[in-house]
Amino acid sequence: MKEEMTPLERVVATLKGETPDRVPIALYFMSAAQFQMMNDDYTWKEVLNSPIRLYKNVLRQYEHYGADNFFLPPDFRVNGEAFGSKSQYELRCGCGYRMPVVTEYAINSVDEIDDLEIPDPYKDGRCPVILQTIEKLSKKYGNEVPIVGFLNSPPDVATDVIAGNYSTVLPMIATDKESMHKLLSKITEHLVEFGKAMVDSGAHALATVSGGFNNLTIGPKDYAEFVAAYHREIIGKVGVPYSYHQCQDATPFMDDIVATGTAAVAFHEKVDLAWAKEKYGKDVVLAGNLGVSEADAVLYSGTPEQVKEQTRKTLEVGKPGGKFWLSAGCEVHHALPEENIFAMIKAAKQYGAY
Amino acid sequence: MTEHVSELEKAVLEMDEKLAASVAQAVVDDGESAVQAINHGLVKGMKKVADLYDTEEIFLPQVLASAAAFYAAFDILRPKMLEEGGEGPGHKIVIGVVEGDIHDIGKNLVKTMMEANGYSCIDLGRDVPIENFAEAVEENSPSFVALSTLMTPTMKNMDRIVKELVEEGLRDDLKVMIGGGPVDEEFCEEIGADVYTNNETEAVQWLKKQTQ
Repeated sequence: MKEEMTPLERVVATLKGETPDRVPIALYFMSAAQFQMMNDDYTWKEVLNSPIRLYKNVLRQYEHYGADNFFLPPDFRVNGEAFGSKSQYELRCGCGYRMPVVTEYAINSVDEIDDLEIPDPYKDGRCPVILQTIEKLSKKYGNEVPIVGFLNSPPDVATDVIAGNYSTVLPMIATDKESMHKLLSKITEHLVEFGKAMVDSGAHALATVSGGFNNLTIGPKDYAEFVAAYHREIIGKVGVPYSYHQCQDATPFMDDIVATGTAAVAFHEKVDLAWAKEKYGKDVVLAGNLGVSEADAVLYSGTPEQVKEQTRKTLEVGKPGGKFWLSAGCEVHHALPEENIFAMIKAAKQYGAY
Repeated sequence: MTEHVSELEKAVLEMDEKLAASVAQAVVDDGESAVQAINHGLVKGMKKVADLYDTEEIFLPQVLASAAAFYAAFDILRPKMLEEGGEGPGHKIVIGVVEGDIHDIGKNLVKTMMEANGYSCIDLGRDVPIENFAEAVEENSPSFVALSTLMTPTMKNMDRIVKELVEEGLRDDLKVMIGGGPVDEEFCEEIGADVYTNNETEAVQWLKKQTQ
């Protein structure tokens, strides 16, 4: 079937509450970027530090897989590195290399928070690589495909900035709220500046992933104070549509997430899509939620036939009334069978037409 | 029971590292029983913390802050505890986060509760090379190996570790526990581990059944 709208028109229609030609396929395409790195014999470091290689890699999200968006950067370390942290890029995991992790931190203790300088997105860390890549994408696809710049969630960035990672940052929420807020304020200032720079370079929208601060780690009260409040600040300042992904079960936090003013909420399969659609489907675009990150998740361990069927069922719930993007329940990662990504996108095009 | 014992419990519950360390030092300085201070003060406090966590009255930030207070005191009391012969049940557990994964909060929490319940943990840390588990088992002859991961791609390394333990002839006298976000009972069975537990409380409950 010939499609009537470009991906950009399709996504914009859903954001306006209008009916597109079909449900957009919005993917947080992250460590699956590694499929192409392995094919090209590039490491993460070689791709993430080169605008031309990153550009070619990101292009595949639309050109090769058929997603309705470009999402970049495909890793989480950019913001921590901008503050001065250093990453290990050659870490191996169960199926090849994996995205970098921070091994040297910008600061060693809370006493150094005052010394942290707000990074310049045009100079510091890998930010300029992202901006140049967005510019290149914009030149070719700026009128056709949504370019989505990724901002890591402020508390998750904090774990990349201060030594000890989550083991330092999580207890700060309990015993040193003042230092935590001071750190989050600086990080948020950087995220706003980096977000604006991405928009100036050609990004149509921004997206975040709230990963480590989820229902398994913190309670609703702390979530409102240390997570949602900072996204609300970013959203208020960047002036473009924002897509907010919450890892694990977002159910207890959904009111706070929607209240940030985000344009879209993307969530894990642990959230009951029918419930979310009923409660929030008129207020925000919902994006979800084929299982991708658990051992029994359909995209990870299912067959292409099972992926097709689950896509059909998900669309049956999410599609009516619009304001819905078909998505995986979390990042599209490199342990997925590649044929399952194709199966999801093919089925979304087949069953997603309005 | 001394005043110090109840102060240790309070320090754990109130997440007060400084208080925990100073009271533990006082226990040592005053020649009081470290075993009693640990079991009736620190462990009692951590058990209450675990209960509050299980009922979702507190969450990980508070549990980790309590665990920091627990260790601030435990590290001071441990040498005296050993002198007093209070090693607990004596069961050793080799514990670590598998290769490729640096997320160690879950592992640390499980380890804290294991130690709080008298088990002796040999902590290999995070992003632990596959072969290091078999090496640690050979060196320390533990009763259990506990493997953790938060990420889907690194689950496969749990399988590799179990296979390595079998190949090295170390599996028969050993029980393998697994835990972490993406794994479940089905995966546990698939790789031939002995048990999947969902959290630190379940892990300790299972251990107690095995070591009774």
